[in-house]
Amino acid sequence: MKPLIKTLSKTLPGIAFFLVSVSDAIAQKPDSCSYEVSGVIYDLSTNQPLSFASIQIKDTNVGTVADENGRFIITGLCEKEFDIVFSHVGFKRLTHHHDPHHELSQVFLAPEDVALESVIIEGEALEGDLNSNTVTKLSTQVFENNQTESLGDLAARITGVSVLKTGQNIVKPIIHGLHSNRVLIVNNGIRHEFQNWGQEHAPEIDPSLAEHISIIKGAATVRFGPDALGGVLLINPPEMEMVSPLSGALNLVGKSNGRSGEGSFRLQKGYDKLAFLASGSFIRQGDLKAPGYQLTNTGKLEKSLALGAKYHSSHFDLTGFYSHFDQELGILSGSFTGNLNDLARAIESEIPQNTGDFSYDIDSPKQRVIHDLFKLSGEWHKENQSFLIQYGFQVNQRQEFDVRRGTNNDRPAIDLELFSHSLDVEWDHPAWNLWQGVIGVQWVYQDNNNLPGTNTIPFIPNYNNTRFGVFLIESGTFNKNTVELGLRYDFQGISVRGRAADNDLFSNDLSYQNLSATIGFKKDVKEGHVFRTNIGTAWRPPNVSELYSFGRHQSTFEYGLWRYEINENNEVTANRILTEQDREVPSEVGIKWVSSYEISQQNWQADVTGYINLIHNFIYTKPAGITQNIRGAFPFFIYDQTDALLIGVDFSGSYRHNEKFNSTFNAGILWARDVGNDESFVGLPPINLGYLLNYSPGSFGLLLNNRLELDLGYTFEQFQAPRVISVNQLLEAKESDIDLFESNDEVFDFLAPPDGYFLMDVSWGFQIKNVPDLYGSLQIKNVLDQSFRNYTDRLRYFADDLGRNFVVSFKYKF
Amino acid sequence: MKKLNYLSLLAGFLLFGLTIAGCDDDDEPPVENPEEVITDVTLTFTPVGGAAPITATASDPDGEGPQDLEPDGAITLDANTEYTMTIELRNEIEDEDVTEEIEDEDDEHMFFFSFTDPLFDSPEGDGNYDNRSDPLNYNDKDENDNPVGLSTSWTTAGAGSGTFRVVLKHQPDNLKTDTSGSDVGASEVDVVWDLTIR
Repeated sequence: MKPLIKTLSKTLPGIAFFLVSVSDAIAQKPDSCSYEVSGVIYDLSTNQPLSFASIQIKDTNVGTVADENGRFIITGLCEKEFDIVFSHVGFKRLTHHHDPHHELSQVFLAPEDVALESVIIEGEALEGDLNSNTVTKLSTQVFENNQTESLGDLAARITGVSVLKTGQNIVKPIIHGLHSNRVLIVNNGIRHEFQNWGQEHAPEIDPSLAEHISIIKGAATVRFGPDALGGVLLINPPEMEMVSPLSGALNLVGKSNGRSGEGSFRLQKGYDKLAFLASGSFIRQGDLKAPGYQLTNTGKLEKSLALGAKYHSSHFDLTGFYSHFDQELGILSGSFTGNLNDLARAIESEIPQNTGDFSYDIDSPKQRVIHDLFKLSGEWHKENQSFLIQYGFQVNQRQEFDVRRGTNNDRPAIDLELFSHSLDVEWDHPAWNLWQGVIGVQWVYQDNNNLPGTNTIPFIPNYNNTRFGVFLIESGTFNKNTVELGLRYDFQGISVRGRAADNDLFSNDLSYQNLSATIGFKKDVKEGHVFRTNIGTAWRPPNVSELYSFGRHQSTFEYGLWRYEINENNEVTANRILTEQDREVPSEVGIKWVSSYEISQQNWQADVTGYINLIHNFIYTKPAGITQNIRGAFPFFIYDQTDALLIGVDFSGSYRHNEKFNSTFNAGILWARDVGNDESFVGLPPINLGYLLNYSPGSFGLLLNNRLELDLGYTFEQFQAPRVISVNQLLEAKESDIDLFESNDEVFDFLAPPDGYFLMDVSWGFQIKNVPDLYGSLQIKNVLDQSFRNYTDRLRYFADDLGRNFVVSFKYKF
Repeated sequence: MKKLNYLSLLAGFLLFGLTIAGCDDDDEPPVENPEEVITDVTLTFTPVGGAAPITATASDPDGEGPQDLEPDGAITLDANTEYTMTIELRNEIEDEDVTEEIEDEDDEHMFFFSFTDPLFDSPEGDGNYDNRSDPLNYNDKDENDNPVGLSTSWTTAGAGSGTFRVVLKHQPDNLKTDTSGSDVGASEVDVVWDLTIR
């Protein structure tokens, strides 16, 4: 560890020197009336271009009107910075403080009758690393309507994204079939660092404090670093706008299922040079209900808070941000099992075991997670270059409580604390001929510790992790074609200290390095037609849990890559802790090719995205036997590596029938195979189709601006599932001393995938006459009270998914 | 002049980063006492007449490792004899007696038994693992007057052989009632011995 840090200390002063030279290079240029501002105006509710909006420089006569396609340009401006006012009949007026370093690019005006605010997406806030990479953004309308959902569920409204769940409370995003350590989450510009290795560890982020959610579907490793094999989920808070009056919103939501009460607020204020943001939310939820029975111990208690401040001067922006997230959530009581006999009974029981009456109590098994993020970033702007330095500090605390004997029941079985520091330095360099680009350096330091007092041998060891990455991304525009190239080098050093089952100490120092590259191409084929294609490599070093995990996890045992050996009799033993000398564990390396074609026309838009992802040294678990211990019989799994191939297509389209009706359609298809062993994987998201119909009939008496929405979804049965070996078959095999996995160690599932299912949601939004700032909505989810089980829900063995849910919400804006 | 300020801020950033990197932290994980692990189960059959007790042990030295546990051969009991059977649970890794914990929490724990019919005259049948109301001679009760099973009585039938299964269930949060069977709660012990009556 120590030598690595010394290396870094030597490197960083080098960067400081580099900064000084850049700063000197940013020289003043003489002012003249040569400034201009341009962009495209859209209707926020439909995402279609908005014709003939008026654009005016505040307190002057200078202005223009957007053309038919929403485009505008004002040239010959003498001032570098000014306030600009966008207006259109029937839409909310928007005032924006403009400076030449932020291109306007996209201006979204909100119709007066919706609860949304008009927003500007500035050039550099256009998310994603590359123009050629496919980025899909959750539409503001869908985001606003479903803001009380978990981050995972909300992200899954983007085509190509699905969820890995452990019941209703623990939801992780799956992007193009990959999840956990293979999906990177970037919250507010900072990599979200948490115990991502666990399938039942959801990201600790409250989406109600965010404003934009988008997905980069390509391998965006060059820009964001390791782990982005499947893609990147980007979450951003609202922009802190200068020169804006005190504004805010208060949102109250009640849900029948779980009898939850939820509230959130947001306050914003902008001065000439300073802007502030404060927001917070609170959720209290009791036991949820499946059609026909209560889901005991599925309550949730969540609190979150975010504070931000931004200082702006003509060449410099300084942003500070702090957020706090605190969540306690129950896990279905009937899903907690001991040995295989218990598991068999839990699976067989029609209604989950231990089902009781409704309650707000949260007992074991449960999780408590607290995440704090602090960020400070400074950005310098010059005529044609900018310079960013950003520091992030995160504290992630995770406690997991199992059902245990005696006083241990109040002790967490897992109690981890992860500190992460990150420093990003980026220089957006001046154009070199036709090439523009970014050069950046990323440094991360992490300290992961097991806190004492669990009375269990730590499941994963303590570790310290240092990573250093440097990247270059260049993009050249030739006519209507953009070519992009990116290159990155990472070095990662980990020092690990853990305890074996007998409390003996073990330790190791590991290092990994990798070169990643990306190449992309974007073509504006013709008006409204864009083609993008991108090939990128991605990597991630094996996680400590994949190397060192040992022991029982509910009804199965698992042994990490360095915790088991196979002896000459082909038996698995786990008496020794291995090192890289005994078994080499190379990093996972992936190559992903993503192409998309987008068409946007007057009344309709469509996009189709295809991808191929090949991952070498893919780490997975496979069954290796059944062990009999004092508690009974348990199947055990060992970690291994193989090659994985994932191929898929996402499609989405929308059509505006007329002033009142609007349709949206989406579909996601994924095919994946373990090509190393020629087998299927467990838990691939099945094909799903979605259709959304919006109807805006206008006013009914005292209710104004009514909007009705019908949301239909069909999820198919997964046809690419591995073989099924039932728990009883496992028990019988153990009893008759047959080794089920000796001749065939293909992965298996305890149950076949659930049937396909159809879900229907409806919602109705309205305003009340003479109460212009209040927006109400009523939603009914799973209107048909359909019983269904989600294949990618880990609790599908035990209980049905949620039944009907009435959601009432009121939002007050000022 | 302003530029200088930015630079000092920047230097501050870097210094801060370096300071953190300098904190070399080699914390070792704490030594934990995994109280809940049971490595050894010992059954002691004491003849009521006063003859020498017969013991049977099952031990699993690798705990959560993949090796199977080893019951130390068959239990051999005399025909037509009355025995008192006690159960002792130990964690040999930590050298700890887990039996006491079960006694302390007997209102959340219960032993169930399953055996070949008709190896015993009393209790008759094949035990109460499959059906709570089947006969079994518990000698101990918890505070709610429900049986526990750390001590039980057995009267063997004539010579024969078969299996003897002992299952300990953890039934917390009022799951243990006067009717709760072996299908409630999680298994903490589930061991099968061969049994010979001679």
